[in-house]
Amino acid sequence: MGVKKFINDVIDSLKIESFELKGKKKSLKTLLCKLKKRRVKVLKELRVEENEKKIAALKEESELINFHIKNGKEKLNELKKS
Amino acid sequence: MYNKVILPVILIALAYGFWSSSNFKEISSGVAIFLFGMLSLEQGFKSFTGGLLDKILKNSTDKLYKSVAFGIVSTSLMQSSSLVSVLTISFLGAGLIGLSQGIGIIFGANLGTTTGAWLVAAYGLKVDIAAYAMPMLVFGIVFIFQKSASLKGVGYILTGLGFLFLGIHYMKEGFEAFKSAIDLSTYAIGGYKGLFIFMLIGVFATVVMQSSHATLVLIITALAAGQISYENALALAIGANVGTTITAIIGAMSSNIEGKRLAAAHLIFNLVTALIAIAFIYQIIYLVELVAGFFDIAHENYTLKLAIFHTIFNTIGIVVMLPFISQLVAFLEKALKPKVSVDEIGYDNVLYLNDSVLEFSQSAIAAIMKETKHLYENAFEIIAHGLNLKRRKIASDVDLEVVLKNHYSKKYVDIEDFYQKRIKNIYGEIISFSAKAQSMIMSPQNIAELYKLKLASRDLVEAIKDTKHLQKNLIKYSTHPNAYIQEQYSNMRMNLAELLRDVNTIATTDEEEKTLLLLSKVRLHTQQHDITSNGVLDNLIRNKLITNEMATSLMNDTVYAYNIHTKLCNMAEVLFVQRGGDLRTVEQDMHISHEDIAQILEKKD
Repeated sequence: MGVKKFINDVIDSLKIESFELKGKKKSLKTLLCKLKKRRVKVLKELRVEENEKKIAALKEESELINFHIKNGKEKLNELKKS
Repeated sequence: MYNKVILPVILIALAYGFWSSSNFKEISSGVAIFLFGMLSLEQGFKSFTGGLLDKILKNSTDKLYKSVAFGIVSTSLMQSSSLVSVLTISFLGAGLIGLSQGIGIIFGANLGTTTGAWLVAAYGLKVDIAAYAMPMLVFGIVFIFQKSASLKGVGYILTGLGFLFLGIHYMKEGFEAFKSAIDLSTYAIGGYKGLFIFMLIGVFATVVMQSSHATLVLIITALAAGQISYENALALAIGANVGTTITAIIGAMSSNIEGKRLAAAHLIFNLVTALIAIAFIYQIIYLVELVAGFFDIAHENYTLKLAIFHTIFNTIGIVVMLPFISQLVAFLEKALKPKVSVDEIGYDNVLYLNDSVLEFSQSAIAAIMKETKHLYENAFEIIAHGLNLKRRKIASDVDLEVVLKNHYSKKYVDIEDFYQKRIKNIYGEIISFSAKAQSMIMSPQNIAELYKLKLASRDLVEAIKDTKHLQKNLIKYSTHPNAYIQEQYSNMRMNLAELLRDVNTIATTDEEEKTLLLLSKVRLHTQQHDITSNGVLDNLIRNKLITNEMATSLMNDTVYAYNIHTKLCNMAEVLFVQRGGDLRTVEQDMHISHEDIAQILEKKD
């Protein structure tokens, strides 16, 4: 039996999650948290901003944040299932 | 000088020694085997430096006491201050650690190396270590023949230890047998005269063997056999400490200015320590007696006393020098000045690429990364000036409308001249250095990283070339009487200025979510401003608002602008997404897709 296969078997039998996967989940959660905070900030700024150009830029940023949060959540769920 | 004079003299002396004395042959072969063991041990530890050791070095040297502790622990574990010195010079050369941290590590390594004397004095001479050497060699060789790099590394370490033990055994045997033939202790010289003579012998022996460890083991075995006096052994140990700086000096020759400063710091530290040890030799000997008495070490056990002496005088050196590290750094920075990056005719040179960083894959990659960032700085300036914009204004918070009105020059900026002076040489060096780095033993992950860095450099160069193609029409049509074409080129300039500002923010921010959002914004704007796909160009042509010549120019220049956007975005993704950060791990997963961009653009319309 190869060393890699042996290690994988041990990980499977002991149900130890790989460090890489764990690290990825943690990173995703951290980034999602930062993005959510930023969304709150952008929405607050949008409420008070009057300059049309800045409003357009803030709306664009909010849109991008939403897409990133959506993508991040999808990936997180995928990782949780695997 | 060395090859022509010193080396032949050493070889002749050795040959004469072998011919005249079989004991000398045994001692010399012991030293040779010991040195071979050191090489093998270093080779073994080097195979693990691609990961663990350099990660620890990077993360555990942010404070001075941590750097010193790292030096002590790593040298004690690896039993090689040379390897730690080379590793430190390599990381310093790549800009991964600062000079004061490097000095801290070297100070620590000096203390760490004293553990070798303890091990040999306490166990090496009392236990029959040759009995352990043989199985280690056999197991080591079996491991070396394995395919796995880690097993090979373990094999080299085992073989190295085996040879070290075997070397000590031969040295011990040689001196024991030597004792019955000649009594070297009759050549002992007392007082300060003896101190200086034996110190110089210690320096010479260490310079020749390039290992203070080997010199110290030789001293201890000779001392144990009663072939040298205790006082002379102390002087030899002081000399070995000074001689060991030769390894760092040789390593620093191929390094950049920081490596040279570190080697100078090492030499200053060891010289100061040696001077203190000589000046206060009798007080230190008294202190050694006190410590030996405290630990119940027999009065005649001079080998252990030598180990105590070695530790005490190195500790004194650290205690004396540590408070002056900032002054030492300031002195070295003043005394050893770097070559000016940009020479008198304006040609820029590489800052981080030197042979010392090639010792370890991590430092090689870090150096290439830093050099590519240096290339980016120059490219940013050229592109900004090519668009007739001031670099500082782009990097500021000033409204972009104002920035566009504030021209860099009234004359045409010669991008080709800039390129020849500030880019071509650095780009060429990055590519040739990457090829050299790739020929080292690198993991597939390292090779992939290196490939991305090469692409980032190429993207920068191509973005400059696209700016050069764009420049002429951009200037011509930005002030053209045809309002439609003028508007298009003004928009193009505005979009490129915004791109440069965004890339600059990505390069300077620590906020990962900001980097992610700006990268997506750049991708979105790349599509949004592509007037060939959004119908603007068709509309201008169909309604005959611009001439055919203008249309052709606009179509070509739109492609150049699109390419600049894409290339700078790809480059920023490689260079400025923090290594080891959260974004680096998940950037690909959170990446905004083409469908997402299309959806956002649809909403905007």
